[in-house]
Amino acid sequence: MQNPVPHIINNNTFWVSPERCLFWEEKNTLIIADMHLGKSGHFRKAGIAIPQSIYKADLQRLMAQLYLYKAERLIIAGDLTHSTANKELDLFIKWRKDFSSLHIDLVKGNHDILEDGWYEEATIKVSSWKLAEPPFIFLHDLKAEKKLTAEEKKLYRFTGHLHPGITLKGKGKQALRFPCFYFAKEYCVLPAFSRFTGTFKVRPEKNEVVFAVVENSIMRMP
Amino acid sequence: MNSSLKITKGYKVITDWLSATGKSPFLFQEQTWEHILNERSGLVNAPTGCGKTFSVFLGSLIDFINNHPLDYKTKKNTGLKLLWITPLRALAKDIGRAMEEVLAALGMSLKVGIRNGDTDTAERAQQKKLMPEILLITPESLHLLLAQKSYPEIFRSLKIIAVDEWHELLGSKRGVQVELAVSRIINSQWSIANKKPLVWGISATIGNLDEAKEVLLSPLKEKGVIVKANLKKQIEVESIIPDEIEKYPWAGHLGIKLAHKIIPVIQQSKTTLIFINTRGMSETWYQTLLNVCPELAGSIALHHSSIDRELRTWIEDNLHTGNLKAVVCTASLDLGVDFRPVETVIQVGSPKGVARFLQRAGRSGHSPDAVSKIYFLPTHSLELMEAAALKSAMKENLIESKTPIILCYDVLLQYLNTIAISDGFLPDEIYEELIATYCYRYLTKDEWQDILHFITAGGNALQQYDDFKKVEVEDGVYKIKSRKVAMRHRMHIGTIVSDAMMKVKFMSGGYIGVIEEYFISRLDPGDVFTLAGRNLEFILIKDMTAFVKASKSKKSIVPSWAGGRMPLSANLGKKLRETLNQIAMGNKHLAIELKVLAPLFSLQSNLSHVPNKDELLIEQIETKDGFHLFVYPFEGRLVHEAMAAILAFRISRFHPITFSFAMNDYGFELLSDQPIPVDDSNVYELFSPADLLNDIQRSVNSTEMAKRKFRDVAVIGGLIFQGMPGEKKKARHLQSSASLLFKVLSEYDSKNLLLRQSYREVLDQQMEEVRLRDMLERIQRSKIIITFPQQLTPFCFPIKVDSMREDLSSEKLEERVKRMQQQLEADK
Repeated sequence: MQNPVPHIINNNTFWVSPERCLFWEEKNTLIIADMHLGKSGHFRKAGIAIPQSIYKADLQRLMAQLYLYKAERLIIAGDLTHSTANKELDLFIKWRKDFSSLHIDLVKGNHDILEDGWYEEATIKVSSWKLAEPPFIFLHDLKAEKKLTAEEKKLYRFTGHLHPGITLKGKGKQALRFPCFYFAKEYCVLPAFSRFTGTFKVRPEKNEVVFAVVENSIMRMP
Repeated sequence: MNSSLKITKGYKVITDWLSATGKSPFLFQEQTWEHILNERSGLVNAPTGCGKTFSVFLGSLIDFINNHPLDYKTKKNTGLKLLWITPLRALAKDIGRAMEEVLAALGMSLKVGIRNGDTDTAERAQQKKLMPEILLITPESLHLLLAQKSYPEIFRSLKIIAVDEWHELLGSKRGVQVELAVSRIINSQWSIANKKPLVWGISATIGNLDEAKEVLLSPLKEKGVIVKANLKKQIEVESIIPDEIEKYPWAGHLGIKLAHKIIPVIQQSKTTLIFINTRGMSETWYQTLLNVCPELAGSIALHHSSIDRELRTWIEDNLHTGNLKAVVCTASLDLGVDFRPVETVIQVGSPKGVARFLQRAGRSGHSPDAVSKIYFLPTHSLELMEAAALKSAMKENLIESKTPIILCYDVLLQYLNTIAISDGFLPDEIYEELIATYCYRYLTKDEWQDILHFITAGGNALQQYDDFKKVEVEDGVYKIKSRKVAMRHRMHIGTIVSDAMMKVKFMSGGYIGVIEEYFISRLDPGDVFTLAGRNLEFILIKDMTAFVKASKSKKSIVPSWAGGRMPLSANLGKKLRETLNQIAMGNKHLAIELKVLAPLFSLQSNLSHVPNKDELLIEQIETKDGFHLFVYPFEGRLVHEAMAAILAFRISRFHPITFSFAMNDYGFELLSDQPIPVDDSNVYELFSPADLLNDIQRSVNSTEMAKRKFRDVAVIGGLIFQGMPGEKKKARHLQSSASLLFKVLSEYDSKNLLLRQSYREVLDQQMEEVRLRDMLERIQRSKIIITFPQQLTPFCFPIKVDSMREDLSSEKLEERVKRMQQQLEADK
């Protein structure tokens, strides 16, 4: 695994990791989006045999990142879970209890449809759609920014939802697609943390920065 | 002929009726009747349009009359006697009608029923209570019957399973479905009634008739007989030749420049069928014909599988009555009962194989001694060469074989779930049945355990944190108990995987047809596209329906439908090389098609070279796209695809380089951003058959081929849930793309059954090791000629323009990305 790459926004340093997460150095906080816990379990419950090892691997990756940075806090920009409750989520609760010192914030996304009780049991602090940490604010879907106050609109937005991916083209009609971090002037879209997710193609404008997750490394474009 | 048949009551009733209508039975029909009388199974080989239906159908009537000699006319409600499996729904309707006419003429009370996707629920319920004596069914609907509780009762009194158009089903997964259903019906009848039905296949001529019979009859454990019709049909082929060959395009697949030339053909024939290879092109052709000859409006029609069924039925009815002057169609009209008014057939573009060409030609000229007339219209100049090759192949009766599929896990998984829904199954019993089929005769006990594990436990899992649920085991019986899982499975029975389809409707109401969701998703409101011969303006998508309004716009987007692009058969490839040889050798007695191509060949020869049959031509050309290497083995697209991957792999092994490759039926292209190091010093080694299998496996690993196969495999095997009507929204959390699943499985469950099958399909069907090895050995014996043309040649042009592309790289991914970026920078 290659080292993370620093990226500075509003005088804060965010380490861009090939494990599809950001580490916010000043606040000692790990930021992820679109973890989709229980997705494989949801498929399996319906008789579709997705290997569960992908779920286990996603959890292990998260744990490794938390250890690596010794993060005290985890902010999830939506879609922590995939659908209704299933047994896979029990494993998350068990894991959570072994990590009890960690503070977890969740900004609810469209997939976060579990009962309130579940979040209480998992000791996750839930915000219904936004979490302001000036000079930053966390949302799930960038489209929600319309609902922000004039004051909040001045804050830099961290979002998920999109599962951004970037297509690179070369000579000889080659084309490759990678998940990416998409940093626009006023907002950032994180890649989906789970590896059991597809990508949506984004087309960055000039002056926008994209970090592609190319296997085990981060490549800055352009 | 043994006279035991002729003394039977049934024979007398049938032949009396035939002679009353002025007909007498063909020899092959009588032979079939006699075999049926003697309780033998087998295969009838007869072309369409000469009474093949009557061979088995009348045979079963004779049998019925013999069993009820006194009350055969009044006897009814005797349970299913004849199961007629047909690949096409449209066929079922026409054949059913013909059968009913016979029954009426004979004054018999037997019922004919049809069961397919169009059969309404009331009729299904009626059939459930009381099956008609004769049931016409598609393979998919047959499997749905096997998903019904106590299905063995349906087949208790069954006498004959007839599989119509077996040559169409053999070699496809639908053929495997038929094998499985036949096996289950035979064995369930044996277990409840201690007898077995007869199995009869009906097939047009293919290269491996014996094998075709063996596959179908395998579950019976009988050898069976082949009955041949031996009716020779006269076929006349004429090419439509461009006036100025120099100005005719070198590439392309439309051929509309020649549209004006077929107008007289259409006008002079009673009815003409115009076969176009893909749906998209048929739309364009239909428009073009109307533009070139507006007076045809109202008397020509467009027929393909995306067109509303009602409209298609209307077209077929009007073909029967001769009200249509011409129909532009795709393979959608390849099969089916004969349209007697059809006098002429026009084939636009390569038919890709001798069998298909003959089949299409056979759609014209139906009276027994009439000549079938087929015109060949080339879509680019070189295709004329194929006309010459086809003619010579027809002379030698060089008809392709249909290779049966073996060990097809996805269809097996689907089948096991199907029988787990109805009565459940006992693994040992089903295993014995499976190894009696042709497809699964080499299924090992270990594989069988893997398969059972997959449907019960869902592969590898996190024990207590799992709630996988599909097949459950109860007292040794494997069953699906969840109604939801069962319902989903029923919706997914079938092996024809199409892209997600969307209905197209007018805003004002009125249904036009269906179109791939993929195509619609790229349109913006206001865009104009063509479907069913109309220009339509896209308005919006709602409830999985695309709403449109009629548009007067001249410009429109013609959907490019995936699929429909068949590879050239080995037989036609060989003929093509022989044809080319005549030119290279300066043969003076050339077919007309080759004579007119002279200017093109002389240009090819000036720029590069025209290879004879003992030479392999390689061209190296540099253009602004990069460095091209063109190779021309004339072996068909699939073999070229495999060879391109292997060659790319072999080159990249000694030199880090990235290729994209493209191929058509004549040759393939490697394209790179750096010069491609192939020259006289290494070329024979690069085309060596040594270590082929290893190189195939390694290069397959590095390509996307398996991923492409995986989509169908995953849908058939039940890994991709396509949702069901009315449940679109609820199912959203169960959606995932095939490419994502492929990635996940490759990383986390590399031994997955369906993944393994995708790789094997690539090896068996695409990489055809035997054909590849033959080709490489041929190349080793031939002279390899490398030329360096200064511009694109007539040979390479169609490949460069009309191509399907693949990537192969030996560079590290990060390196590739860096270099792509540098190139982009340099371009700025």
